[in-house]
Amino acid sequence: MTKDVSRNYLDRQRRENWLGFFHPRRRKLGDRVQLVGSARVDYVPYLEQLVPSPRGSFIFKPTKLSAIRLSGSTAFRAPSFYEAYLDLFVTSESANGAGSFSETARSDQGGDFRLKRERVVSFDLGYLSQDFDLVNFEVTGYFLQVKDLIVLSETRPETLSSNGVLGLIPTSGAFGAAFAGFENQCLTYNSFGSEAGARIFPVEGVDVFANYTFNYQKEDRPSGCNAVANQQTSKHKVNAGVQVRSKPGFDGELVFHYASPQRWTERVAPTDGTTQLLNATFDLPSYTLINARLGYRFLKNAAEVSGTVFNLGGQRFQQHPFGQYLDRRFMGFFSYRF
Amino acid sequence: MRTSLEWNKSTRRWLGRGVLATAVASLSVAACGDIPIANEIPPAGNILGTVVYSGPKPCTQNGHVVGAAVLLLFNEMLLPPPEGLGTTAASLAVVAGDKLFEGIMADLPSSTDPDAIACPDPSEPPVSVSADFTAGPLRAGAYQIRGFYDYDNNFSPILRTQSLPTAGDVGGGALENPAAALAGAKPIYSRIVIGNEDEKGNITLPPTGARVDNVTVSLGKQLTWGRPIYYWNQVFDGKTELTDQKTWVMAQDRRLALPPKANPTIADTLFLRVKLGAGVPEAEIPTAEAAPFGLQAGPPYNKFVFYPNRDADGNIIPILEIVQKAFTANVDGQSVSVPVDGIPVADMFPQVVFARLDAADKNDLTTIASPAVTLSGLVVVDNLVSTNSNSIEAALASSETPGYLLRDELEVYVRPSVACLNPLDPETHIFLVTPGLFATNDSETDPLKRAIVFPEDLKPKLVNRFKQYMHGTDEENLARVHVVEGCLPGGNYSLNTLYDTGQSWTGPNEAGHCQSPEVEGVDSAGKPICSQPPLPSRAQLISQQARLRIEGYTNGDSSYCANIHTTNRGDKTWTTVDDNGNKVEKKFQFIDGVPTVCLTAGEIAKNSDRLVE
Repeated sequence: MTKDVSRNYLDRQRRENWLGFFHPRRRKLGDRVQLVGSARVDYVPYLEQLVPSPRGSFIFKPTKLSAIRLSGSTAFRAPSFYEAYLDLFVTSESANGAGSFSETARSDQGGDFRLKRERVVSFDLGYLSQDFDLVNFEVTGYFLQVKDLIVLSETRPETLSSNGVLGLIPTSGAFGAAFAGFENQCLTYNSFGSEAGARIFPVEGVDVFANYTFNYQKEDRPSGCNAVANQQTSKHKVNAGVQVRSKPGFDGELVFHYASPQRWTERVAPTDGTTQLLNATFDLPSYTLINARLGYRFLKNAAEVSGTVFNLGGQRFQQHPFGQYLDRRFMGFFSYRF
Repeated sequence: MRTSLEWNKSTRRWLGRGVLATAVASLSVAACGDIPIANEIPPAGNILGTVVYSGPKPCTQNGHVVGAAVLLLFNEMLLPPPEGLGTTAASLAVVAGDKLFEGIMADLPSSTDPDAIACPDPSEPPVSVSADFTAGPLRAGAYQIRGFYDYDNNFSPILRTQSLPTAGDVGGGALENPAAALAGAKPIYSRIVIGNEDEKGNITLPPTGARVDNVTVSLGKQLTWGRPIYYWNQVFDGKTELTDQKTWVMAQDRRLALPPKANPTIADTLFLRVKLGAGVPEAEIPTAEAAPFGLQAGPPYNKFVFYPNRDADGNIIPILEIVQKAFTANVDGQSVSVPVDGIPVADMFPQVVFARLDAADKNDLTTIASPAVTLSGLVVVDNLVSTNSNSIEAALASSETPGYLLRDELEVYVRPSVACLNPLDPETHIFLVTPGLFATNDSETDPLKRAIVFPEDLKPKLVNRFKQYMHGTDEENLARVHVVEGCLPGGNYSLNTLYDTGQSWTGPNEAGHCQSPEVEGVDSAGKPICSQPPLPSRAQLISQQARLRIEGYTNGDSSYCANIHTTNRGDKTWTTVDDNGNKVEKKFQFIDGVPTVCLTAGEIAKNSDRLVE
């Protein structure tokens, strides 16, 4: 794959040629055991290296309709063009005569700084049972480790040593007062969690389901690391609901959703004439949602008309501290398959 | 013509076999009511206008004009010294030299060598050019624009040592009297209001923001001297020289043994005195002049330029302690007739102001902004008697540089008193705190021979001194000025030398310290350096590390400060406004003898167990 990008916030036109190799394998050992694995290798031009992303699963089926799964996987995200090749002068929000050089390469540190890829390692162990006619259930435990998240770096204000590198920029008519850009965050996030869910079929055409997710996050903070940690994933989430499908074609669904509080940390620009980005913490409270759907199938199920209400209770909430407040929504749908 | 069957076949071929296509029409209706806007950017203001430059042609390098017009916008509540206590501009606008001189680029000197700087011959006539500027966004408030053309291209908005004009730069601002100011008169800066101002002086922005157009910034006064760079040369406590920098400490309960203006010939024995040398020590000059400092620290710039502070009529303004009009004072319940002082000691430039530093910054580079605590130094020329107005006028008249006295040295008497205020509080009160309104010669019964200052005389002068914070009637303004006997807030204090050209110098500064991400180190000769790899290491100018420390008690005895809340012969109470707008009378509170109005909220909270009133 080739990416060819030219933007005025990049240092120059950039062209990257990517190569990837993917090889999946599946092997059965008898009737009960299955091994699934895949080997993936990508050549990342910015990193100038081959990056492997192996993954595998071990599946044991104690019965025909149940399974125990143990799996592990790795993944990565290479810096985007914006993150890798940023070279942009950003004026201060409150003083248009000064600003910071936002550049990934860091000319004040030799000009050859490189970001590392973001990395994820995950393991999970789960049990799924569909043995019973009236109930299916699933239990999963997982561990997820995320490191080297690419974030906005601390602004490096001008010093006497870097004085000669900054100065007046004739084209923008502003003075460089600091350096900024991206960095790999020093925190390593470790998430431990579990999910448990069940689906009950009391009568034909009626499903009752519920699931609960627990997520516990702990950071590893090396010495000298002052990054402010996020808690963007709710510690507790609950979904519960009922789905109805009728032979005359009427369908309905009522779902309850709960998410516990979150804490987001974002970098914000100062408004006092300085150029140092600030860490601001935003707490989002918990919220509950009730969603409902009512539909009617006709023309031998080829057509359906339905209405959906999102957030029936009308609780105003945000999914990001800078996002719009979401409240009640009504939506109507018509579909026809041919 | 296609039949319907052919259309069906055609359609299926287009969609492909096995593809389930779903046509979905959806209608989405938002909840009743408007979607609220979150995180709305608050309104702001902009100032637009024209920069008019009149001065020498600029230099060029590699096809670009060297320098830029630098416009510093100051909130009038935080003007720079000597008018105010601002340590940084509220905003900065720049007009690059390329833009300002765009119309006469062909007439500017140039060089084929891209690294060479081509400058005009000094005999060339001045030029006049102009260009538009935009400054903002700005919060609600009243602003002044002060500016200069950075002729030598050494300005930095961040570094203290590079943030103000130097010799050769062309100064000015948005002026009410541009022609007179450029001819040497005291500049009167225009007051530019961003927002709507009510009768009480409160300024608010409407939801649509604010825009002020047609502001003219005039740059035309070329500065002939450099910034008042200094180094601490000698420190005396009375007649005794303090040779160990660690002993440059003034006690928190420092009082004067005798009133200086009644004893001018021995005034030097009464104060902690600092003798500053102009520029840097001779051994540091080559380093200070070279990169990365580039300071005008050696000849011909290493001179202090003395000149008096004058009023609008050109008369020398005396120091605050001088009584200019006889009045009746109340001393311990007795009426005392106070006559006019016989020796009017002149208020001189460069002025010297000490500002309390934030203890959290180990490099002493951060000034505490709230409350601002400043200590005013008394600048003397030769001695206190020689600094009287008559002597000064005579000296100026006979000076080799008419109107100015050039000296290698500056002597400042450190006044044992501080002014404390919150500059951004709309109801700002000014607190003058001193450990002794009277000298320590308790055996003297005549109050005129013991009083250092009389509050009745001092308060109106403080109202005038801090007039930008005073928006009420004379009576209301006087009620917001307080003179309190209390001990001085402890800590480190920067020393700031100021000219009224906008040029000043602050120490300690980054030339004497390493700033993150610089790292402390030593070179092969054992001299301290700062390193920021891969950039070259740079020296530290040790002379730029010195500061005043206020700490401890006279003879180690803390009892005076411990009891000063009971012996305070100044104001005992002050009236403020609570959250409901009701007037509330408060007693002054003290921690270890220091009025809490001079302490930060953190200091008060940390030491609240020792709070008394």
